[in-house]
Amino acid sequence: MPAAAVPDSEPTAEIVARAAHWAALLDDADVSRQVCDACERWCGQDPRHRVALERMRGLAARFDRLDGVGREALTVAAARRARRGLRPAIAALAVLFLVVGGGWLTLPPLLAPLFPDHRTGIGERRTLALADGSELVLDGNSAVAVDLSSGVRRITLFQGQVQAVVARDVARPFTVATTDGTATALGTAFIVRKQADGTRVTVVESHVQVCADEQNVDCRNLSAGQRALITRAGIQRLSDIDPRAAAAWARGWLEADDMALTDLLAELNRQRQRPIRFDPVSLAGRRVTGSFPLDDTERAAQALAAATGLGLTRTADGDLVLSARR
Amino acid sequence: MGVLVGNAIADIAGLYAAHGGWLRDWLRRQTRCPQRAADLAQDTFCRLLERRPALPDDAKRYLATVARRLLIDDIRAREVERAYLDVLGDRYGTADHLTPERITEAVQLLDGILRLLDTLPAMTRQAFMLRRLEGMSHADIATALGLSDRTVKRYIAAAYAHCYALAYGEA
Repeated sequence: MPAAAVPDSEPTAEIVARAAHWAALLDDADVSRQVCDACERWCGQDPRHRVALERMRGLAARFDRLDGVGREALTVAAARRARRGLRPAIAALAVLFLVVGGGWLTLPPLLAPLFPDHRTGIGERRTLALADGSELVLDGNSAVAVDLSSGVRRITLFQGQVQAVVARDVARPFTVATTDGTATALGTAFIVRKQADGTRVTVVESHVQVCADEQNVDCRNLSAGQRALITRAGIQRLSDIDPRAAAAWARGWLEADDMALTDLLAELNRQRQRPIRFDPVSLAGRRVTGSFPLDDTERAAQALAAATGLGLTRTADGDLVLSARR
Repeated sequence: MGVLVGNAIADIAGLYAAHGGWLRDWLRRQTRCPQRAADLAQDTFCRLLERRPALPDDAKRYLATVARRLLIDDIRAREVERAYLDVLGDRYGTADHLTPERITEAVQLLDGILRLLDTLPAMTRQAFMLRRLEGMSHADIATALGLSDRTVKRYIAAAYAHCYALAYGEA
């Protein structure tokens, strides 16, 4: 999804009011296909329509960036303020400021031109049931936008990893897009992961077409168990993988089959606020096979220590350390 | 930093010489904390240097207005930080595992959102918060607040329009 081009003129008051109406309709927990399509038509009528609506959705997305602690803190802070009431002096000053110069109350500019519809925190996995019957599993620390307007099914992955289990619909190809390229399927399950060095696509079931450009010129077809990395340089095939093991994270498990220990630790740490500490140099070359729970990485670390014969200790400030020293 | 217009600097320097001490005293009475008062006084003059406004005749009153704004910002940010650290403490017993940068970042985000919420009428805010923070559907919010679905939608739309005006100006 490209950032909306800023139109020559700003949205009018009437457009803003109309956009607020659409934003409220799209805001509800369940939005019907009809409403989505109607809104998409409205957006298509005038670039200012889309800009106004996307700005509003972006403001709402500020909330979605909050983790559980942030949400609770906001509720607590708002409740405290309501209970106590604004101190009279401050309330009077606040009124003054609104009159004197609203400019100071202006919000900081929105950082991202793209507003995710769904976002997960570190260690949080979420399953989304899409209106077309497909299912998305968002890995921790991931963000996606979902566009199911008429004729397209397009997921934009901004960061993290997503598994798509796609409902068959020959008329509407299902695409997961990143800044590196796209992965498109007609009815299948696959995983897309945005990494620093490119986008990794793993096919769990059936076939997927991966493309490194929007014109679909540089493309490859992958089948179950095959993987590819899409980068600026093009598409690079990676070694094949057991598709069942590749999809295990979506069920909360990390299945390692002769996996480098340091890679496995990096995977576990993606789930953790406080990483497990280790020395990559002294652990290099060690390989691991086994199943490790992603929802309980402490237990995973213990199992890992038991499987490898390494020592698991805790520092004075509470960090877990995995090391060769016992 | 760009080269400041000589006059503006001279004006602000003059303002500092004339009213800097008064401003610190005033802030000390408001905050009951010399350190905070000194910081806020400094911030006030930094603001002026950054923005170089045309100073009105009653410069002292103008100075006080700017300082009041910063004082309120400071109070609010402290309240939000307190709430954030309290929740972290309840959940994890400590906030030690977070870096100060991460706490600052979170508090700034929360502060921005809270400012936005503060400017909404009470019912609009309540409906919007139940949707955004509790993830309740419009129908559930309608039941919880004793409103019709249509009214909830109207409140949510009003919240969107209001936030838009705040962030992008009245159309």
